[in-house]
Amino acid sequence: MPIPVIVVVPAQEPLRESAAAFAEGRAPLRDLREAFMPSLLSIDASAPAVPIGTGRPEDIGTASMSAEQSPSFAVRATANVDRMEDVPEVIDGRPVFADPRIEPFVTCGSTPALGNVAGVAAKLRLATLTAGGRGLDGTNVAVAVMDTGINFAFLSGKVPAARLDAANSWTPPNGATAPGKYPVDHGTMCAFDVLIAAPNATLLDFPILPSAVPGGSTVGRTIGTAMLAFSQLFTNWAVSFAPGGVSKYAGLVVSNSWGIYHPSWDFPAGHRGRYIDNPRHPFNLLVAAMAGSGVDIVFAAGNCGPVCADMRCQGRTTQAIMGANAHQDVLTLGGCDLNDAIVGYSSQGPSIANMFQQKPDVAAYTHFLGSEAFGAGSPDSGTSTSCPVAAGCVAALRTKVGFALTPPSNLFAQIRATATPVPGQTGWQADFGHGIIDADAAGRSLGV
Amino acid sequence: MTVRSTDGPPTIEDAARQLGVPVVAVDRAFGVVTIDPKQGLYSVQVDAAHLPADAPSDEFSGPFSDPRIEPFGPPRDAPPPDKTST
Repeated sequence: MPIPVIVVVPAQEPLRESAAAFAEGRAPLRDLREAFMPSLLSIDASAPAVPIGTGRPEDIGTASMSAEQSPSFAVRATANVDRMEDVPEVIDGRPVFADPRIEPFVTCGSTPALGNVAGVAAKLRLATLTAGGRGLDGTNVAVAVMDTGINFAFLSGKVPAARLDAANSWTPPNGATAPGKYPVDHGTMCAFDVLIAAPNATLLDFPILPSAVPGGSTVGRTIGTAMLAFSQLFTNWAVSFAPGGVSKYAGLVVSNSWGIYHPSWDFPAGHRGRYIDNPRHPFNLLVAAMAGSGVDIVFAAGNCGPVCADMRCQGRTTQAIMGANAHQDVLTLGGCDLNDAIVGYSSQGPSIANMFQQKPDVAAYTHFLGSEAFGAGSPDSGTSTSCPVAAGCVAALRTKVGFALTPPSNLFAQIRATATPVPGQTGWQADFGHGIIDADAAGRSLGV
Repeated sequence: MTVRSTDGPPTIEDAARQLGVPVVAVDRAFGVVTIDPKQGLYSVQVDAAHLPADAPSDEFSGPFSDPRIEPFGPPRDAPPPDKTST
């Protein structure tokens, strides 16, 4: 098995020509394979020779390491041996070095924050959303954060202009905590991240994720809790039209940074009442009904990515986008860091069988220094963060894009069509979906 | 379970009658949850122990699962693989 190596050899004309051509950006005039190589080694003619001077640290300098003057060159080659252990240290008096594989350091759960809110705003070109009176800032748009509850005092300390509509927020049955008064936790992080792109949006607190409250209620951290909350919001928006209700807003966005980590949490495969792969489950029906009434529903893809999946995924990283997170009528978000690299935990498509396959739809930014809801210096992370970042982008667009003329399906189609593809991307792909969300481009495509 | 009504949300008693279960089997705290009023679809939570043995189980009525949900963050890295050598 050929083993990649780097060998240091004395200067020869083909090596000097290779190095000079590479430095000058032109094709070499001589074939690198004309160079004399130690036995057992085959030169890699695709890699230019690299001038390295004498190989002694005291001789390092720009002159001695030029193509014209360097007495030695490092050359990529392969050693014709069976095992890495059989590569000699020296061949024909020439030192042989390793040429190990390198990989990028993927952002995983324990990786420190990469960048901050200002960086997110710059990458998304958020200033263009409000420049010159464009006014895409979430004004008169409500964003319901379906999560652990919001601590509005903490949030206001970070975002003084934050708005919370407590009257149209939700308290679980037998719940004792008022809207906006929940402990600082995941929900506060999500609320903060919504306001990055939509600073003038009005938050609605929908605490579906706290543990079961006293009183013997069956309400807890299950799909049933989400159903209660969604139904309440749906009724308020599209059925009751109560004065001062949610229907007073120009748009309603629902941000969902939660889901099912593993199929073992659900009924077994084949059961007609299962949730994760069943468009007819009542929660999935409710999602469809809400989307049909003009509500923009945004879901996180999940944290079961192939490189560093959350431990709750139990090692399962395929068909990991499930249930309403894979619903045809929602916008599903993968996560990328501020280097535009997909984060290692971002769940990849295609979705679980029987749900819409091409998920995620797009990616948005995560793993940056933002709310610090989990402590000073802690990143806002997970696709839990990319979801509300995108929800904020949707809310910003809804400032001027009415849901009657542009229903959620059309808005999401434009978001997909105008997403920024990553290098080499053609069409949908499993990690980034259609690319990185670009609210500015989506807005322009919609004429706002 | 899903129940149907063409005249707005059914009462708990109506839902129990439709499902063939005693009223006490229907969770009043959960109530009758609107799913899709245009299709007359509503949902209730029922104690499975009270479902009739011969209750039809279909893809529209249920019973449907009520699985646990959790937030997607912060990610919890899985422990590294065990590298114990023999």
